[in-house]
Amino acid sequence: MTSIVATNITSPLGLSTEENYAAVRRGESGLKTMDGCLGVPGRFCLGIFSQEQKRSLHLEGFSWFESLVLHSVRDALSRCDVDPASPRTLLIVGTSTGGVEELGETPDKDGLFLAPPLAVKKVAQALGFVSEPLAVSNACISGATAQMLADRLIASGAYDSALVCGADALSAFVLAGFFSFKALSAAPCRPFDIERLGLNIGECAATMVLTRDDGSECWRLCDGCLNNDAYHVSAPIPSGDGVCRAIQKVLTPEVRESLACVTAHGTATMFNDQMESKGIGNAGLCDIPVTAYKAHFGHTFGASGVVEAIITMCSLDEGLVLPTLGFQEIGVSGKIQVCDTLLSTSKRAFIKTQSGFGSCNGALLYAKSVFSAQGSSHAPSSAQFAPVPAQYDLVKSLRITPDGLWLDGEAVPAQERGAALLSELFKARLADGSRFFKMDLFSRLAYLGAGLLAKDALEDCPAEDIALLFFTQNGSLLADRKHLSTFSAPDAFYPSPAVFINTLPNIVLGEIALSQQIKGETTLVMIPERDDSRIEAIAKATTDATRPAAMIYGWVDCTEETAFRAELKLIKIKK
Amino acid sequence: MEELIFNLKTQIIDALNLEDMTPEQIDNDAPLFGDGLGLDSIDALELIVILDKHYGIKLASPAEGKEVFKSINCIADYVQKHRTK
Repeated sequence: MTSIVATNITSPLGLSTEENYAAVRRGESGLKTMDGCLGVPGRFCLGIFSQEQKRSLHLEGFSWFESLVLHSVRDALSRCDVDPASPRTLLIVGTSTGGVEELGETPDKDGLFLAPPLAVKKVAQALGFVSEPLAVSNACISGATAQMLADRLIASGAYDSALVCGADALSAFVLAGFFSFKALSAAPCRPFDIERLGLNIGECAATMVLTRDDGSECWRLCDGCLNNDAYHVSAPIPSGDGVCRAIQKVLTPEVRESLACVTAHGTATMFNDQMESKGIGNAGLCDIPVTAYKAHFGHTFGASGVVEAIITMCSLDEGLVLPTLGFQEIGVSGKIQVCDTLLSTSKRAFIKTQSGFGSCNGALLYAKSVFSAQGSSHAPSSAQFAPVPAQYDLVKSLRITPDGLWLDGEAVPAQERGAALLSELFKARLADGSRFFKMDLFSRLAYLGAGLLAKDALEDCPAEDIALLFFTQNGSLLADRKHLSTFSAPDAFYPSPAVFINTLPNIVLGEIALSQQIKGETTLVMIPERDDSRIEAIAKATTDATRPAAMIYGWVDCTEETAFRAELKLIKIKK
Repeated sequence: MEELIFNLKTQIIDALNLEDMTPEQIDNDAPLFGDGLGLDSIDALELIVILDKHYGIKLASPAEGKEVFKSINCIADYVQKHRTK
């Protein structure tokens, strides 16, 4: 449990939390309809900054993404007494694509391009942070994942405060990708509505300052649960199982009594909203108002889990639950109450749900009060109630490089080298009929490593209790370049959904979850360089907070067809 | 028509990364989704890109392609009737 002592929202609706909340409260939308955008043909409706806003926000020498993060974090810092120059203050950024808008097709053309953890490091240095920052890339639940990770690292004693920024910038890269997914609505989106036609992409950076809880009167991140539904990397599970399980994990009878609303993901795609309605309804929240803000901001990906939680905090501070802009007539079959009018409430707690590509889901609980029952059914996240650290056994470990595979330190015979080695090992040792050959190199590497560790080793662990925690620097860099090449040549705009899906580096976690039926938390952390002691520390903070029965974790990175490395471990909790 | 069918199969194998598969192994009448080739929703979107890129046919959504994508023969028929390049 951590206190939220300051916030910022930097969006087309305004540059501070106050400006944004006032605009949302007035029913305003930052969405604009335009013909063609950033060189991508077609009619779009987007939550995009105006040229004037861009001019004032975009800083010389920084990418547009970095500029947004800088503005948001700087403003949040100015509103609290948290010192970025303390080694006990962390900057953690949740983003699905980072500064990919600066990526060129060849390494030399890059200019401003930096892989997300390096972009975040550049921002951290510019703001005077001295601790090494983190990035989290868990697709649309990146912002929620970043909050959970910050909460755990504070609980672990490593930090006293964390600046948690969720951010994504609009780029031709993302626009072309979602265009190929046919998921975009050319009109303002209509969450949960019978006539919803898809999502609108938005750009935004939003920041929360989390500090160790000192019992003062403020909003708190009380609890949260992240999981995987192991259904499909891009299609939401029709039953809403992941969302339902995540909500149930944070829902005690006391919490239920205090809930003012659920702030849903509500992307306004046919499948997400249907799935989410099932999940929320099946979790037993049929009578709790459900709100969604995508028609104000668009889908801001990594930012959405932060910005939407902040807006609900502001509204509950006024004793209000806001109506869902764009919603008129219910168009989902789950039993939920979509809020379509301004409601007053005296309650001061809410749940924020999130779901994303890679089949990941999350539910975070925020409240102004402290729940007594929190932590009774599962590990508490506050240092005051620090649990006895869980003990784990190392079951298996492996290393994969272009030169070979080592299992528990022993070299495994193989003929091929480089990328061909991965195919050889897959055919010889897994051959599980998965989408392996449709994956990019990074995903193949991670998939193969996890598959080899999981094989015949997880039968005694409940699916919901198996976790994945992967670390990388470059993530999907090779897939990013390939995606760029599918639409950037003149008169050849053919973005490929199969390529684009791999540009989300956490997609492989969904692939692994699907093939191994892993339904616990699956998280991709991006760090500026491989650092084994840091990986161990974050893994320990994660197992202490969530106590999975088993976890596969470690380093996976690749920069070329011939330059890659996986260092992975399978651990199981001591019986 | 035979040439078109062969080209389609090659394009599908290539775009969908159907490892170790040759055009001869794909049955012209077998279902592409489900039991047949076992394609999924992302592959359906990829088929839309193939039709656009190679034949100038624009389908708005996988729903629109549902009948078209039943089998290789169905796609070939559709392409022959609607191609613009």
